[in-house]
Amino acid sequence: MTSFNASRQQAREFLLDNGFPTNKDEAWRFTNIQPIINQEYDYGFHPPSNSSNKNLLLSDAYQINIHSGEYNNPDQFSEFSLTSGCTIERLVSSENNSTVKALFSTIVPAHQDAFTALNTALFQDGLIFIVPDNIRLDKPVHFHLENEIANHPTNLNFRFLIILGKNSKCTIVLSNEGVGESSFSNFVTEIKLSDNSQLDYHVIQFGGENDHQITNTGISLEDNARVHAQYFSTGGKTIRNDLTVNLSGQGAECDIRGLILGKNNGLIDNHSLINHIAPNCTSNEIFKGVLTDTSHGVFDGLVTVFPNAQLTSANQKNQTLLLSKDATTNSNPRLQINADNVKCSHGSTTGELDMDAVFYLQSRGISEEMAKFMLIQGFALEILDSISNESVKNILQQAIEKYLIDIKRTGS
Amino acid sequence: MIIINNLHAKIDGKSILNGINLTVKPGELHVIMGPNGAGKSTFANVLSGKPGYEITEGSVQYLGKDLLAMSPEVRACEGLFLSFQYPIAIPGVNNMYFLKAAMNAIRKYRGDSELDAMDFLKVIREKLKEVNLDDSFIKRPVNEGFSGGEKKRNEILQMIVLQPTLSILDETDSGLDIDALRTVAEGINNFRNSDRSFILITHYQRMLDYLEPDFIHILLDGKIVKSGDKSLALDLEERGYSWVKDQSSQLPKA
Repeated sequence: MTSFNASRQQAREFLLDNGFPTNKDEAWRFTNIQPIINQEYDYGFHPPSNSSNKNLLLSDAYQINIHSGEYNNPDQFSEFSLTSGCTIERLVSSENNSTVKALFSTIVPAHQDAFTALNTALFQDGLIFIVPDNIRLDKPVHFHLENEIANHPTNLNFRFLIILGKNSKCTIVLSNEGVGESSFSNFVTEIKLSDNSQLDYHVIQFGGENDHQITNTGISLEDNARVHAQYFSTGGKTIRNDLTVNLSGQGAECDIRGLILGKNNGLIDNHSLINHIAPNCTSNEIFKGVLTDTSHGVFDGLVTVFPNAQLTSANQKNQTLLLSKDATTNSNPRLQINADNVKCSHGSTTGELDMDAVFYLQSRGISEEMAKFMLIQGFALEILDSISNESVKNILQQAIEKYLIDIKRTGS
Repeated sequence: MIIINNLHAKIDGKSILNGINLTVKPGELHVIMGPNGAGKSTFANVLSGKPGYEITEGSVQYLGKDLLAMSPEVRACEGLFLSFQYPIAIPGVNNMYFLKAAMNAIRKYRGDSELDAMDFLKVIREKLKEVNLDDSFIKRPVNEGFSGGEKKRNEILQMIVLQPTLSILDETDSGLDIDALRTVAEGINNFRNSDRSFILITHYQRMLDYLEPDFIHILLDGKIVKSGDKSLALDLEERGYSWVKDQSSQLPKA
């Protein structure tokens, strides 16, 4: 591998040559990034004065707070390593680590897009997390970032490199709670899943009123590896997630789920690429959206079946519930099939609340307001069905409830 | 119980109900029969307060109150129940949560204390037995993936849990096999008493083999054109609606 400095330099050149995308670029057609890029930032963290993260505390987890500099404390990591059997290190001090050398910037290449390049050129730090072969973690590992209102908008470019060894198993939660004035976080996450490993991966994004969150994630799966990835995004001015899943090993499986709860004038955009490279792999993808006020949701998903990938099974679905006439959604599910013995389906539905269902509940004595609450809640909760960790599930259930109470209060 | 007087209703500007008169006393079971398009479901929907209908004339007194002035949920809280011809599936909302919310909404309206999960479970377990459904049933999303028979039994389950005083059963018998039909009919029979009344809408005689109706009414073009006892249903089964149509065309215009 090239050194960090060389990678930074290449990424910088890519960015200078290509610039930031505009809405003339297909992948950014609906996502206006002008408010993000036309802004001067301080680089780094503005940790909250009292590190509370009330909304996002998992009851039983290894928690690592990125904002508070805790991740900077080597003692904590060694303690974690001792109890868990895993390794966690700061990326900036791991340049000579053989795993970093082999994988850094290979799963999510810097030239993938402008924001990946920006991250690669400017990343302040990151974490490398390795679960060795045959280690099965019982507790989730929770990486949490909280950004507080600062005098000046801040930009944080942070990276994760996550490797699961053979037959290992782990739940990882990556949460980002933006409370910052025009803060902009730009994450790159590279994940490698070795043979027979199993990862539950949760991205939880609570956007602050004016903040921007961008994530670029790549997951590469070897033989019979499985990933269950779940995105939960609410609030924020701009949330944009790009996910690439490479099913490179035979029998690999991915279950990708997403829920967006949009309000005010926020934009939440999920782009995904699922590549069926090896035969016998399975992918399920479902993204759901609830949008109110003038919020905007985007789903763009491409499932590609490579010529060798016989016996592929792929399902892709996007469902959106519009709660106000000014909310908008753009849905673009796509399949590209280059093998003949495959089972694939995709679909997209957008609609308003089913008033027949509202009436059905009313006819049983339930008020109209409560009926609507129950229906939206039911629509959203379905996406949490397959979460095995109760603590994660609870946090998301509460977040859904909070969203519903918020939108009821503002009368939308 | 309920006094329906000269009820007229329109949907999308089209007249469907053209002057229905019907009085149901406590404990009575009335059956409404009629060909497709006669206005049977509209009649049920208007009584339960479904939006979209315009009441152009007439009145409905329910337990001495103006039924048409109430919202659907208030009607339910006042003891009116509609068993849907096509029960609506509600993905993501399980039966338990739904029934508990409904029961507590009604209890609250009546000034009773709300039931907690344990008490509610006790009640519901007992009722499930009555309609031959097992406990797992209440954990499933409301009507989602239910068979036709399960949907109808779920309607009857809701009825016996919510304990309405007037139950309107809209084609509760359609789509049922013989066993399910018997279960549903037994559910209704066990629930019948001298305070509770029923309006049963049906196409067929067969449900009436299990129930003891007090009156049969024939609805045609949005009006009740003929009323009688149980034997009227047998006549209909034998002769179809055409003889009623012939008779009613000779009636003087109202």
